[in-house]
Amino acid sequence: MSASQTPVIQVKNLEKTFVLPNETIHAVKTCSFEIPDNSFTIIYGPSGSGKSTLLDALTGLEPPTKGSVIFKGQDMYEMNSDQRANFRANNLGMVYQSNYWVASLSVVENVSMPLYLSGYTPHQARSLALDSLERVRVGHLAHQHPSVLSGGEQQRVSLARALVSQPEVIVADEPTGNLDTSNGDNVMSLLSNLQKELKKTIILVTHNLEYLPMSTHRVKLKDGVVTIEKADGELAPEDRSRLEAIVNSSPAPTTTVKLDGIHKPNATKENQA
Amino acid sequence: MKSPRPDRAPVDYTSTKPLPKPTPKPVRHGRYMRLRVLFMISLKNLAYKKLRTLLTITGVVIGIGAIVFLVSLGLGLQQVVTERVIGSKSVNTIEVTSSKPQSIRLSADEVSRFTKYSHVTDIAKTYSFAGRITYKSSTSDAVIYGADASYLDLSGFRLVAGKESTVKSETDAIINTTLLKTIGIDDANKALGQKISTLIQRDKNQAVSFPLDGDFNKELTIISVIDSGTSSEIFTSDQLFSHAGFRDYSQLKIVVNDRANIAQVRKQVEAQALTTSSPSDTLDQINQVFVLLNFLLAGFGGIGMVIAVLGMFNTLTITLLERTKEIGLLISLGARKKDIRRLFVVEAVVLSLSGAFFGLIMAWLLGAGINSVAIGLASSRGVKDTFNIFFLPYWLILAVMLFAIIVGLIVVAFPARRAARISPVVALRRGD
Repeated sequence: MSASQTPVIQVKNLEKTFVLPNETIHAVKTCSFEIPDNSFTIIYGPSGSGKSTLLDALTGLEPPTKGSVIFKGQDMYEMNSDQRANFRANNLGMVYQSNYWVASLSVVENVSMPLYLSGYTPHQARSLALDSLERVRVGHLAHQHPSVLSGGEQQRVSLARALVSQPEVIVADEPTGNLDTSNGDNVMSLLSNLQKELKKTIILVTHNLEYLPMSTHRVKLKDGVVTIEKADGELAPEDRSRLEAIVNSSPAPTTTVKLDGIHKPNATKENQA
Repeated sequence: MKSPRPDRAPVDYTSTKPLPKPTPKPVRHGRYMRLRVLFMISLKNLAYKKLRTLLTITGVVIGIGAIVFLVSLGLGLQQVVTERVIGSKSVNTIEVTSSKPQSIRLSADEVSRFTKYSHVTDIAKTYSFAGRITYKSSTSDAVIYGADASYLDLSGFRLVAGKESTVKSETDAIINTTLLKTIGIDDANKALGQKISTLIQRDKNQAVSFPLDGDFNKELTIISVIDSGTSSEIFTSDQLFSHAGFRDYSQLKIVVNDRANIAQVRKQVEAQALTTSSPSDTLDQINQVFVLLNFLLAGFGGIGMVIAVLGMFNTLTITLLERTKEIGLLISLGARKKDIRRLFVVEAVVLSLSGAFFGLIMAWLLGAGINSVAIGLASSRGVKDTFNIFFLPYWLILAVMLFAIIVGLIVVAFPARRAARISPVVALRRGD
């Protein structure tokens, strides 16, 4: 699978600095890069490297100190905050490490939330939400409360919520962080399916290097310095079998995925040890 | 917790069945959260914390209930007092008298002039004299009136015995209960049909122009007994005096079409150097006193409301703190600041309005209960009239609802503003 080269997100001279009373923290040092359409981009780096800060800037939640984020030709920080909120509701699907819910609402209502926010009636939102839950095979949980679900189920429901407004880009921030290996693989497999079948662009933030080989593009962060890598090269046999296990772990891909499109990351070989 | 829907097969995550195709999404750019959705989420949030919601609403019920109970007591008492003082007298009247009857006269000319004033619908006329009545062997002083039908009608006397409180013939008379006692008749019904003679002495009525050379004498038949003032009074037809040659009336009652026009007509009448008064003056005085009393009562009730408001504020602030992550999530999913504020505002207004609704019901039930107990006590002490010491008018209900909405909006202003300022980045921060 080769990703199209049209960028969905362009980052230009982005820089984020936090000024504290005693010190100035350069969370993200000046960087420019592009996230191509229909790519599986992984932003990775050790804890404290500035991944979250970069992600917040990319998703329009936190304005950068300098530079711009251009999402499909539109500068996100030239919009006002209401326009940006509406833009997020329609163009971005968010999945988090911890599962956040509106505690008083059922699963299907929680999944409907992005649609509610862009003006759908409960009735309209409901059918789309059920559809989205079905897509990640958790339609049977629609009427439960999110708090009674297992971690794996919650993460799938949160994926359904990210998908419900049919955004082009899914942003997943450590989605496997709180899951065991099998549930984690499951979620990764779902994300991989979304990229291949529904032609979504996936942006995954992780410090878990295990999933790096699934990516088509990578953004490496270390101490605020961004290095752009393009995934290529061959996989070592043991990585290849592990990846096949992940990708085919579940949930119900339409076909068994062959690993043609997945490359061994040469550039990060030393990190994988 | 609901169990999974029975019509769904157990899930097989490893199934190789193709994923359903996505339903095409209707485009809704630039649309924001609907009021229906806001209400749904607010109600679910309130229902989620049942006990807290119940306690908060109870606070508002007590606060609003106390205000409504006390104010409706004030309004009820105002009505009772007004009824006692003004009675069924028409409020839209101006009583006209002359301070110098010899020079400034109230003759038929004046009556026809006043009739032409705008807003005047009717003019009632009466003669009155200091006189003397004789019944059988007893003689007593009394005020003798010669009143026309409108005058008697407007005076709104309560009929004690007899068929009606109007005089149709020049030989008929209506006496009041004070006179009845003076002449020594215990049972009002026994007075009906009795003859009573009246005497108006010329030298005792120097104030009015007296057309006769001697005294005025007439025997009358009692047809009714009424309840009027504390002095002995007897009413007969005005025509008895006009036929005898009396020209100047002692008092006129000018009926005006609306209470608002009383002042204007009064001004015109007073320009003729005549003296005027109106039951609306008394009514204004009663109202003045009660406005003060009602404010005082509402103030007492307000103490309860202040506590209820603090309770509401507390609930909303705790809700805000508890839901910081939820709000951060909503913002990251695409909620505008306005949506977050509205969510809080709707919740607060639902709290305060439902408190007001049940508060009104509580106050009404309490008022009705106490009123029926009071009527019971009064009737056991011989009071036959029913009365309402509680009065809950529609405007008070609407005012309370409006008040509740305003209180809700004021109370929620701070928590809603704080909620809208929550940074999703901070709220959803993970250990990075």
